[in-house]
Amino acid sequence: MARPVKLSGELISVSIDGRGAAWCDGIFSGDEEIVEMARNASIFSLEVDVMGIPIQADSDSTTGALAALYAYSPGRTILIQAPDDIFDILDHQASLDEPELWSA
Amino acid sequence: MCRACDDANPRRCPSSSGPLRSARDRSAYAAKKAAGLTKPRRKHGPTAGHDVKGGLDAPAVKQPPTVEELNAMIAEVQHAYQGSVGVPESDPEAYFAMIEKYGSREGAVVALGTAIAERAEMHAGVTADEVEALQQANIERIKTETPEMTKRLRIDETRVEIARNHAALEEARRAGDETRAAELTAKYWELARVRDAAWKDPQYLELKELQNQAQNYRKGPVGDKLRSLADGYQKTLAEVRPMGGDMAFHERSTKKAAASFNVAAQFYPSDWIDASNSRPPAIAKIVKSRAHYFEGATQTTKKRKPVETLYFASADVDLSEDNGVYREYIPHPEKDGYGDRAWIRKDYDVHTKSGSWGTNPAAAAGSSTNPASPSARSGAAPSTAWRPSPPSASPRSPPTRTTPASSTATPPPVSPPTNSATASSQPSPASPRSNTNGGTAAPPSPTAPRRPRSTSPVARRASPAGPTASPSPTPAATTGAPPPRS
Repeated sequence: MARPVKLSGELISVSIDGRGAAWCDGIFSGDEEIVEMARNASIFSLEVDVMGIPIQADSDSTTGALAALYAYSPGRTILIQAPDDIFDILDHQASLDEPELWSA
Repeated sequence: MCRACDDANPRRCPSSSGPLRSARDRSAYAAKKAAGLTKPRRKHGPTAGHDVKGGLDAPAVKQPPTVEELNAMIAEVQHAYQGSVGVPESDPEAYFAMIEKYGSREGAVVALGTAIAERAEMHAGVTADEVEALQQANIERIKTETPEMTKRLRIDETRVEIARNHAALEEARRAGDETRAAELTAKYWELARVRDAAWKDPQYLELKELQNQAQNYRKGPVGDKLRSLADGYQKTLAEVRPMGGDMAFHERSTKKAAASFNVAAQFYPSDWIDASNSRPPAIAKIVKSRAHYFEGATQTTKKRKPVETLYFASADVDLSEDNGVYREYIPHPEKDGYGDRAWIRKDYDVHTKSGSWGTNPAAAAGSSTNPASPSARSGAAPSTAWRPSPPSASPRSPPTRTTPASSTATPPPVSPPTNSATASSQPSPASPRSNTNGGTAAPPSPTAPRRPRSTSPVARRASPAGPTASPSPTPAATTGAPPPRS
């Protein structure tokens, strides 16, 4: 009897030049090129610069999946949907980068 | 097929499990939604305004943005972007206003790029969508017509028949059946005529040309339209930002490579090129291996110098008598001692190739009477002490060229008072070994070596008194002779 798979249901979606890609519970979907790059990045544990934060890509965690989706084109990726803690991390990093701007 | 289904003990494929399928569907839907959210929408341009039937969301028909509108948009986005990256004295409020207007920082840049694209398409007279549609139509036509054409002209069948015929012919020849071989040969020529006729079919050739154009975007109507688009983009970018310029390359760069790069440099902003020119000049080469570039690398040029050796000789010996194109003796009074005179001997590396660097400049001065010599071109300072020989230079003068001191970065050699530079104007007691340099104006003796000792002592002795003894009015600048120090 196979064990039932426990899934968290977290979702990350990005857009690159009008092309969309998303990750949900270990599965990448969307634009073929972006998804292929994300899968390869997660297989090879590529370290990706996500808005100034180097993150190791994988397909099991939200932060790793975020890095995998950013791997295709980090500078042109727009984060559409992600869990709140991801946005908290990015906002915290932004506040470290630009304290004058974010302190107000 | 899923690999799990092929196992000896088949089990349920995990991809069909409910949660995974649910995750896949959710991510696919989210990706589709994300793509739709950020897809750039055209507000201007030739393709806009098709929704003339109306509707509340129908965009108004609008002309492409003007240069002033583009500049205003650039200034707005730039100002807001500075607020986002924390530039001092920036305006965070502008950043939030931009986010509210365009959705995100990246969205603002996308909108700006869309506006520039619309103006570029106006200049080009064609849109990227039209070019894409034309290319797609060509591809569809190729896909549709190629099988029909192949069938109509029997291209594949002919190819197969020729191969079979060839095999049968080989077999007949091995068997020694000449009659059969002759029949097959005749059949081959018949098939070859069919094949050649198919290859020369005008419709087939047109389809092949279309196929070539589809594979090579630079050819055909699609290539022309793409070229127009590229020119339109360059024109539009030049309207909002100075573009192009001349790159300053290192002096040892290959001209062809530099010219090729300058063509591409017209697509770069001018301030980028100015910033590059303010750094050490890069060297442009054409290489067959992998090209490379190091930012800010300083190119160094190795210039060989004459080998200098210190010599001592008795005070009554004048080593400068042995001066020539190969070597030169220069007095070095600081090292004099114990009754001996110190000399510095400079050994020049003489190359057979014309125009090479390495000869004694003073010795080869006579051969540089050619106004096209490098020193003449560079306009070396005229020397009052040195007097050139008459222009009746020997045609057998050594094919060496004086390298001026300014170009080799070496000081001009010190010519002793007894050298040939002064010999022509100050007759001194002739010595059979006196001065071998500077006498190239006189014809060499038959016994003189062809090179490098260009003149014979007899000719040099005769030169002051002979018809060629009168100092030539040719200034030293045109002869390229360096001024003697002593």
